[in-house]
Parts: sequence; C-alpha cells; structure tokens
Amino acid sequence: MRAPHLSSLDSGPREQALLARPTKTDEELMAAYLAGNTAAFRELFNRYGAVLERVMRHRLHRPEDARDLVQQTFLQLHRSRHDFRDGALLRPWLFTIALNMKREYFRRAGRRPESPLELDGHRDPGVAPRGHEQVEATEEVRFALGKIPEDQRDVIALHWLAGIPLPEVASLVGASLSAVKVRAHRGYAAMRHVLKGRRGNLDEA
Amino acid sequence: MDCVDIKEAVLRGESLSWEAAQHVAGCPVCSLALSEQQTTGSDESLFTDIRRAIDEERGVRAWLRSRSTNVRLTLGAGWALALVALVALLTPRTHYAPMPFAAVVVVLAVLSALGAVVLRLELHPLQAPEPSIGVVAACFAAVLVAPAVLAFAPVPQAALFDHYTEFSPPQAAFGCFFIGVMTGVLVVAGLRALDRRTSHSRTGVLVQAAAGGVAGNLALELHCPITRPSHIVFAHATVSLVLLALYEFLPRRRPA
Repeated sequence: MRAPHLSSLDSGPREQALLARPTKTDEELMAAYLAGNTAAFRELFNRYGAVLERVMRHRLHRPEDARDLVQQTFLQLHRSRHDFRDGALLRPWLFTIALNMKREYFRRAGRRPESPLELDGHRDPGVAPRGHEQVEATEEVRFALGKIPEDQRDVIALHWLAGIPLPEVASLVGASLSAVKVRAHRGYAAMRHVLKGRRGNLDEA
Repeated sequence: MDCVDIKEAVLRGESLSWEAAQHVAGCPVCSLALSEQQTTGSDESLFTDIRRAIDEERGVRAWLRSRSTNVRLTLGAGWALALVALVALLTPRTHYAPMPFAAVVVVLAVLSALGAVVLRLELHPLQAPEPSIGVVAACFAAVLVAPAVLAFAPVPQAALFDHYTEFSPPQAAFGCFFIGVMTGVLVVAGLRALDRRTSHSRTGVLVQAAAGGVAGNLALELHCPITRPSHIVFAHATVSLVLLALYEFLPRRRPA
C-alpha cells in the first residue's frame, strides 16, 4: 500500500466534502488515510490534536515539550498505520500511543513528572488567544490537577481533559473499571477541596 | 450525583438534569469544566510540523519501520537467524560428534525462546502498553545468566573440549568474544532500523543489548567447541553486557 505523503496530495473539494459529513467515524477516517486520503489525517488531527495537547500539558512545564509529544504521537500514528485492523477503535489506539510517548519522555530524561504550570505565563504559540476568563479557568484546572496524586491525575486528565469515558480510561491506564471509578471520585473530590481553598485564599487576599 | 456522573452524562450527550445543574452551580470543578470549553480545531503550526515530519519519512529505514508489527517481527527474526547461520557456516563448530544431541538442543531452545521474548519486547507496537522496566531488566538478566548456567550443566567426559592446541585460552576467549559481539552489533543495527521509537530510553537500550546478546550466544553455540564453564562465562555470556557498555560509551544520536 502506498505511503501517503501529506504534501504530495492536496485535499480537493470532493475529499473535503466527503470528510465534512459528520457521520464519518475515526475508524473510517483512518481507513481513508490508509487508502491514501491525506485529508482524513488532517481531520483526525483536528479532532485530537488539541485534546492530546491538553492531556500532555497537564504534566509538562514547557508547552513546546507538550507540542513535541503531540507531534511524535501523530508521527507514530503514521508509522503504525499498517497495524491498524478492521474492527479496532482508533481513539484508545491513539491515546495509548500518546501515553507511551509521555512515559518514554520521562524515562528518557530520567525525570519525574513535572508539576503542572504554576501560572508560568507561557501561551502556546499558534493557539488562538482566548478570553481572560477561559485562560484563568485553564490555569485553575492545571493548578488543581497538580495538587492531587499522580494515579488520580492521569485518570482525570483522560476523563476530563480528553473526554474519554471511564471504561475506556480503565483500559488505557491498565486498571479495572471499579479502581478507575474510585480514583476519579477521589480525584474530583480532592480537586474540589483544592479549588475551594485556592478561591478562599484569593478572596482573602 | 457528583462530578464523575456529570462528566459521564456530558460524554454521553445527555442534557443535565435539575439535580445535576444544582451540583454544577455549587461545584468549582464542574463549573470550571463547563467554562473551560474543549479546545478543538486546528493548530496550523503544529500540523505543519507534523506534516513536515511525515514528509521526511522516506527511504529504506522509514519503509522498514512502517511495516506492520508482524512483518517487522519476521524481518527482525530473519535478520538475526541469517547472521547466526552465517557464523555457523563460515566458522563451523568442531568436535560436535561427542556432544549429546539433547544438550545442544536444550541450549539452542533456551536461547531461541529468550530471543523470541526479547524480539517481541523490542518491536512491540506503540499502540500496546509499554513493557515495564522490571520486565525488561528481568529479560536482560535472563540473557546474561542463561548461557552461564547452561555452561555448568554436566556433559559426558568424551564431550569435554577444554582448549585448542593452537590457541592459548585468552586467545580463544578473545576470538569468541569478537564473533559474539560483532554478531550482536549487527543484530542491534538491524533491530534499530525496524524500531519505531523516536528516542532510546533505558528500556530500549536494555532490550536491544539483550537481543544482541542472545544472537551472539546462539552464533557462538554453533561456532565454539569449548565446553569449559569459565570460557563460556567470560567469553560468551558477557556479550550482552559489552553491548550495553557500548551504548553507554558511544556518542548518542537522537534517531530520526
């Protein structure tokens, strides 16, 4: 099967129209990409690029590292495309690659997962500026995530930031559904506690 | 109803009940989740970087690592076996006849089984969970220890071959060591060509050194007639250790 090279094919109006159908599933897009349709890869990036970046960023201090890991994830998706089989689901596939890339990053550097952004003032290049309230909300989310235990943090990042249902999160982190539910409940409770405390401190200040 | 139930309901596309809305109003986590809208859409510069990286995936190496995992496993195993066969053909083992057939088969079977496990770890697909450092370290230890343990297995007196008359023990040891390490280095080079990883972590280095060690020991089993345990321990079993040391001392280049 021919390896699709993204710049070698322009997404024509017919391809774009085909992809514009909301019923196109991730798996259909992956099959289209395998068949050489590069617009399908673009659509997969549109669906998951930003979500993956959010998941990566909650553990990394430098936004460029998070973007690099997202880039590596999509590169690995491209390299692994011939492993994708009919009947497989793309989303768990993609997120397992992403989690493996993240683990490899920490292992390689001999680093421990970093604290999430302590309001470092960085803004991702290339991301459209957002409203002040939304930026604050994002910062609060990362602050609260940084204060909870790591196993709970991973579950909540996938459940909340990536919008993955708990049964799928369980298979991604290699734990039972009941264990993941417990982590999620405890994690959300801990985040509520952190956020209430933080807001209380801010009000006092 | 709590945060988990509400997020699950949102993921299922359900509208929030009155009870859920009450929770959201008083919960800082859920109110943040709703105000921090999901960022979707395209990040043009990131996609351009990805597109550039994919467009650079050309050449033999890119072709090899984009094969399916089963094809890569077949190619990896084929490459290792071809090198072992080459050593066996170019420098065949002498004094085979007195050696019990079963003893040779056991050694080859143990090393082949270890090789299959190590190859599977090395070329595992990235969409599958990553093997833990504990599993990888255990495999490396098994590759290091197995030839030494097998060397102490009793063999009949007639099968004992202690030394060559034309080579001193250090010379014989160096010869085996060189053949084992060279076979291992070539196997590692082949596996790296098939490897999809973008960098080499500690686990990747351990697995590759183990794979090279297994191949080196298989080649030596078909080459070296010396059955003296000290020779096997120092000249055969250490191949994987030397490969690991080479990784440490050679300058590292970030793979493409």
